[in-house]
Amino acid sequence: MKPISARVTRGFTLLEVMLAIMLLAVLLAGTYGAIRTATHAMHSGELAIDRTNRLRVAQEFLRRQVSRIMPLAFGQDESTNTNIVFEGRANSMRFVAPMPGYLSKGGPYVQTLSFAGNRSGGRQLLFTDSMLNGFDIDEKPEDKEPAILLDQIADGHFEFRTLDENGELTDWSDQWDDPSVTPVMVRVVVRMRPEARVEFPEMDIPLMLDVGAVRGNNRPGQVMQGVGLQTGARARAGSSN
Amino acid sequence: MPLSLPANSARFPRSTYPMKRIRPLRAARRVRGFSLIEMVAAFLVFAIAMGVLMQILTSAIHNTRQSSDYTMAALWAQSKLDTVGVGVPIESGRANGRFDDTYSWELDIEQVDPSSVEPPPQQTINAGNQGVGSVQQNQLSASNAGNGNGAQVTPFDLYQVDLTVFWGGHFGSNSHSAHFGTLRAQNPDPNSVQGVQGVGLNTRQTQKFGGNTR
Repeated sequence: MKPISARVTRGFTLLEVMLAIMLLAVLLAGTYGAIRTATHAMHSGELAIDRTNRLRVAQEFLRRQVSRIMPLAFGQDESTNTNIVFEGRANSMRFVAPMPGYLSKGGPYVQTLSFAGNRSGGRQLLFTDSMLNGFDIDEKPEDKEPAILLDQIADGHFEFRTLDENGELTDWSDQWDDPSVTPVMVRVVVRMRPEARVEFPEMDIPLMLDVGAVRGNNRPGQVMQGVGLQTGARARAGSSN
Repeated sequence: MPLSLPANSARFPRSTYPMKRIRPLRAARRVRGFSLIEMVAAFLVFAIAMGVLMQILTSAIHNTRQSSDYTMAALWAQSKLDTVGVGVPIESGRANGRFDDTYSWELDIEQVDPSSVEPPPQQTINAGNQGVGSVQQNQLSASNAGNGNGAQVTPFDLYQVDLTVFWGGHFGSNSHSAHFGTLRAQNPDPNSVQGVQGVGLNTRQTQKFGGNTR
């Protein structure tokens, strides 16, 4: 009995054990590498989705706000005595539009979109809003922190275009000359920094409310300007308090 | 204590002991370890499982990339479609061009007969074919119902606007395209252009996103 039992449980040789351990090590290393790659790929994929989503949300918000611009005056130019309905420059624009319900207390809001530099040298697309009721154009609303719509911008500007006297579209211009009317279309051009790893498709946004509505040469225009004058008066009344 | 031993041995007959001792020995001799074939099979199963896992992962990444490409195409397309007929009259015809290095577009505008678009009343609800949203159909139905005779008194021309965005195709990658369609209405009388845009704006929401991969 005893010799048989000893022969059966004799154990492995050193060679066998080393071979087994090495095989196990190779197997484990392969598995670890695969899982690591998988995790890494998943992470970078999620980042890519996130980048695209941020861009899409920013674009959708921009399109929504700009296309709903209302021809309401938020101030008055004292020198020419005209209403300010739309202010447009290459790096900022200001207009009146309704806000999404979850962000507003109702009523039209004076909204500003601007490209501004941040501390790290890049630029950001900033958005500020303030209720039209009681809005004062001379007062800088410092209390409200601007919302960052888009980050990691290398370069960006707005362009505007409208109809000329003959009813033809003018060329795109990054300067809006007549603040008493709204443009027909607004273009947002943004070049992203390379580290953003996403491109900003150029946006052309036509305004839903017609530019003809604020022109002085037809009846609806006069109605709208009347409304604008009222709000202008209200704004001034608010500032005198 | 020694007294208990005989009692135990009386309870368990002597003959059972050898059997109990031999059994484990025999079992140990039968378990000899794995053969080479078995090991190879195990490795193979492991490798296949790993390969399948990796493939799933790769396709997931591929899908992520592709969906972000489609998102970009949709963003480009929206600017293009939105500006059709704004400020300039809509004309039938084809045009194409490039958005940037990756995306190119092809625009196809075709005048449609409103009376052919309008479905019979009972099909109004489920007629989502030909890229025609029910909004237009309802509008058309309403205007036609009010006027009695649809085709003749339709106050505007109707245009089917089809935009196809293409991308990919370089370096052996598959080329993709996404198709966007909408309807635009235009007042044939150029003196009242303003009314046209208002109608056109209503149709903006009916872009369908029919991505087809070639």
